[in-house]
Amino acid sequence: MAIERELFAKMVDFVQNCIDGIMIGAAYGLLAIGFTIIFGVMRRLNLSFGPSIMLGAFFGTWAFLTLNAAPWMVLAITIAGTVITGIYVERLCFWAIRRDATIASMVSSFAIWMQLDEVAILMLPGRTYPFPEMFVSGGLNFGPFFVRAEHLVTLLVTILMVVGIRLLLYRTTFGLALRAVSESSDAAKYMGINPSRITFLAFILVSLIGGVAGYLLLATDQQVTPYFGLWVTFKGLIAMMLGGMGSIPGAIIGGLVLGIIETQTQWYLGNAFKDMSAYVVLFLALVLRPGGLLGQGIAERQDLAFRRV
Amino acid sequence: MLEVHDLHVRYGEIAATNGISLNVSNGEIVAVTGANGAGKSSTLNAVAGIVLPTSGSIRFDGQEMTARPSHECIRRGIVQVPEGRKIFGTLTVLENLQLGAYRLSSFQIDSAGIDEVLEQFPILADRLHEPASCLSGGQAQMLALARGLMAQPKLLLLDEPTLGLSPIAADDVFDLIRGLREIGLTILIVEQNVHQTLALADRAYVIEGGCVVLEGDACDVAGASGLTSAYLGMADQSERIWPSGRSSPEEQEIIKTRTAENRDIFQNGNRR
Repeated sequence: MAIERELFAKMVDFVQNCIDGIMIGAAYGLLAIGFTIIFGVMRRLNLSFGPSIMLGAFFGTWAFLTLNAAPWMVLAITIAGTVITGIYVERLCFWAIRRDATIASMVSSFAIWMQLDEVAILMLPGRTYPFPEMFVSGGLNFGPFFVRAEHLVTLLVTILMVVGIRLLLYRTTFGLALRAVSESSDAAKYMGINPSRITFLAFILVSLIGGVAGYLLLATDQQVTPYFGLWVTFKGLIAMMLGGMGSIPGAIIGGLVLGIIETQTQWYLGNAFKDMSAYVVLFLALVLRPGGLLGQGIAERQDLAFRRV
Repeated sequence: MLEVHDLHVRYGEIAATNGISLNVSNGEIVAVTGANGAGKSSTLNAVAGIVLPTSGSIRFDGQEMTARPSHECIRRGIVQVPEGRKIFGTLTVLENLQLGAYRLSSFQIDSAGIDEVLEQFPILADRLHEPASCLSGGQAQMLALARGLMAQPKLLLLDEPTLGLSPIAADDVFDLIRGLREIGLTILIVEQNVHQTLALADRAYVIEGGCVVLEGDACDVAGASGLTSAYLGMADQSERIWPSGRSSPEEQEIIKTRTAENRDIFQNGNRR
């Protein structure tokens, strides 16, 4: 009887960790979508994506600390700050540099990362600042399981955003043009599509997604540091690579897998192993399935498509 | 309708065209032929706004169109069906067609416009929801043409529409272009399939080394098919190209004189 009870408690822990992992992983998935859309459109990584979100969050924190802004105001400022920073990065590192100069864009986006870090430190020089909590708090009990209200909001917002992104990509002119530019920006020109304009709009879109994801993560943790940019970059890139570069469902699955593995490792091995587990999983994934969980199929399909036409 | 004057296109150090001038009138089919690297596609790309000319002018419907971006050219009615088709293989056939109408102000997911175009391309109608990568080469070329028509062109630029196609598929493409002529579309076609193209066209230009070396009615140029061949890399064999039985002595004399004149122009052009 005692053994059964112990087993049940262990099962509850495991399932609870999975629930927490899915909730956190949903936000990782949003970050990965941000990376994957830009990679899909430009075949280049935007290494300043994480720092842009961090700077947006710093604008929100600054408004909260100095103007005592309400949570919804902090959300709006965080998103607006991320979008403005995203546009700055796009103009400087991607628009101004030729499309085929992939390495130059990536290196310059890395340089801008340093710049954004410095701006954040100049604005708020301390190491850690409080970030306002969400408009909801507390939680819900489902039998033996507990779900934080913030986590629930994160999951719901992620689901809504993924549905929205899917509709945008598959039901609108902009989405069609974005997918066309992702496949071939040269061919898109013959359709009268201006690839620079689509890239610019894609940056605004991913900055919006990033701003929301950043707010959800920070409002759950209720603190922000200048290292948030680095943290976001790692989580987003790992989730994207786990799922497969260039795949939106892959980004979400990668985010969820990463979230679950992190919470399980944290519970069973301790906090110190949490981040390490993410790298181990990434390493194993890259060795066993280099294209990512969903990326391989997509890469093969695209390769076939390019060879046929 | 289209007036190209002294068009120069350069890719870095390499001159693709050296002062090409050509005209296309409303309702005409004009062919541009020449060897690989002669500057045919560069001319078309400059007219369509895909590449920027270094000098010269392009006027369309009386308006200055030199160095205008491709989206503006398409809005004005200059639509190019590019070499190599450039179909989006990961998108469906329907989505490829919708992209053709991207620049129209009334663009929506408009089934009426698509239905109209599909009447001319029944083969695509059954495959609308399949990825375009599933199409054969001939079908992909049909899709490229149908996609071009979705943009409701005033002037259709066709760049090597039969490249890489089997003779039967190429015949289908030429039949289709004849159909487009019947509906009054103005077409500027670049093709290496000289005989079939000249049989189709009203007028023709022969380009070599980035210059126009011969122009005139298509039947005249076709009559001087040996001359065309001379500029397709067989100039030294000019005597053998026109065996005595194929042209009258008078025609042979005219052709020889024009060959010499054009060779002179061509060589001067090269020296420049």
